[in-house]
Amino acid sequence: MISDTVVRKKLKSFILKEILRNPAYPMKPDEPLISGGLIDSFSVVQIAVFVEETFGIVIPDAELTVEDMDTLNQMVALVLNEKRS
Amino acid sequence: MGDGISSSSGIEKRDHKSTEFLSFVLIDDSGNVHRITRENLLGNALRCASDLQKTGIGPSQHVFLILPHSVELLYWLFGCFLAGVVPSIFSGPGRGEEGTWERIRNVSVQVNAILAVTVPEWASRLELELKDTGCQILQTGSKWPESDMNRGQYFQDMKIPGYVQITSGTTGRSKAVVLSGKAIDAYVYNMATELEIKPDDVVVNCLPLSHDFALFGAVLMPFSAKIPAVLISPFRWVRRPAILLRVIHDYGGTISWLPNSGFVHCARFALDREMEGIDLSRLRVMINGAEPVLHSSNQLFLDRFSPYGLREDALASGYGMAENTLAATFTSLGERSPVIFIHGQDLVTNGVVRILPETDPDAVPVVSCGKALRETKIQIVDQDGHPFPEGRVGEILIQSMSLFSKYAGDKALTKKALADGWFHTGDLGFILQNELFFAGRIKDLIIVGGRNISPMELEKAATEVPGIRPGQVVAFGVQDESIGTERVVLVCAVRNRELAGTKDDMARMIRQHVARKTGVAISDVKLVRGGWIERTVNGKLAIDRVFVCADFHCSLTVRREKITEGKDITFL
Repeated sequence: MISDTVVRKKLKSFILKEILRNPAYPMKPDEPLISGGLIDSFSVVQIAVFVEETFGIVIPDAELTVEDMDTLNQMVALVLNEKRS
Repeated sequence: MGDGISSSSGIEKRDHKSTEFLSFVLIDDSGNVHRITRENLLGNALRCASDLQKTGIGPSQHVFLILPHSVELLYWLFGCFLAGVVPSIFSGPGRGEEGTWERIRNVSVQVNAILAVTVPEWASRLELELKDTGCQILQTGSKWPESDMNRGQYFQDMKIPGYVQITSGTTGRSKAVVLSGKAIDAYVYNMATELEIKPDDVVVNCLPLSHDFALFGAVLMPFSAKIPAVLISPFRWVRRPAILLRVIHDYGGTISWLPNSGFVHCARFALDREMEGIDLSRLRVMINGAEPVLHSSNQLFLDRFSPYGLREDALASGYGMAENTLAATFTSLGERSPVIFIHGQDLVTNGVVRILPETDPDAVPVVSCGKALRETKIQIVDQDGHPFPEGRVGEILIQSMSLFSKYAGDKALTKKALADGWFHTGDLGFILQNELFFAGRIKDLIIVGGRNISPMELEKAATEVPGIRPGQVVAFGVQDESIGTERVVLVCAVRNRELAGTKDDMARMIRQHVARKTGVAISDVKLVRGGWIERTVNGKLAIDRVFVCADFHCSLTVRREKITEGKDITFL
């Protein structure tokens, strides 16, 4: 079973390097990334594709929303939940 | 894809003499598919028109349609036309919720809107915002009485009274672009002629209906030409861009379009498993428009989808804006948009076009926006308004049958924009062999994903954050080929003593506030001390914004940057 720490580390690294292109950005786990204006809603699908390729999980369309994927904590929970189910 | 679209749901044959053939297929945010026949549209639009008339609204008065991507929106739009009133469509509140309501309020005063039609869940918020503006609220979904309008008044008699397109101005204030029915009719006819519309054509669109591309291209043009259009929820497309390709396959789509960034979004994020079985060979026109067209984005799209039957000659492009209803130029049908390679530095420094071989290290590709549409003239002029010959860069001017009448509530701006009988676009371009090439902007505007954003609107929002020096904020866009559009950068001067927490906290606070007010994501917030950014007495920036952009582009990661001649800037 993949751990919270591993998922968190991989997701954070991907967001900082590939989306923000700023590995030094001090992203907080509960920081609203989309509603907080750091990344736009187009990036949701980019994260979903990364999750699918890295963790082998397809995030259902219904959960592919700004409301469900706004913070790192939410994304990690989503991945772990899907992995469990 | 879980969107409820079956592969056998192609558009049936149509009998154009009847009102029963399919006009629109609407795919909503949840993926539900709504099929709307002309008869169905007519019946519901008549009910909406009847409701509108009961409110006492008079001909040519102005109505806001603040509705989600839904069949209701189509019914009310056509209801407005049948009732002879002039609509404007607003998408509902997105992430910039606060800013959306504020903008609606400001525009309602600007254009003297009499009525706003909205869904019950947005009505109370809207009521609060519009309470002292004289604009009444009409909620959808109320129990409609039977229409007392003459059922014999069919669509063939419908005259579009006009439309007001709301777009971002360069001053931070929205522009309300007033289009006459005559201008819209001319545009719709010319576009259909230019596209050589045939009875078996099918338009597929995934832009919001508040966008001129969608409204005129995917609603009014197909309706007038009696061909069906599939209107995909833009939210759904953003989440799963392959839906556009799937719908083109399933419905036999022949004509579609996206902003340049949409080409990149589809190419990068339509997954192989979602593309299984898709055949795009029926697609004969795929237009790249609404923001600068990049050769790399077109190529990326072609490389990704040619294995699925996408034809190279389907790649088209155009140039246009709300003030011309939509497109003013369009590339030739059946030919890929021409690309030329020019000396980039010569163009920027001297305004001269020097053609280079593709392999030259200084060569920069520029994609043609095509030739002027029917009944349209394009002219390139110098700073004094004198026409330039081919190959010189100057302001793009337009004359056409589909030009706007005025900016509502702004006589001075109208006079300036329509001086000498031409529309002064504020864009830079050049002409070669009658083809128009876009070369930049004189006007202060950022375009992200086809959405016009006023830098002043962002600057104003950033200035509201405590600790920011009033008027000392600069917003600009930086072109990023990897996403096919501009990234937004803010440079803000701070009062050190009021700096709340660390500079990261401050930047976060600015970004969150700007997003809440405008819905715009900011790629980078840079803080500087006072004195680096100055405004003149009339509020204009004393520094040269274009120069800042150019320098900033290659220096986002460095600490020190030359910002004006002889001055260095230090980011905090």
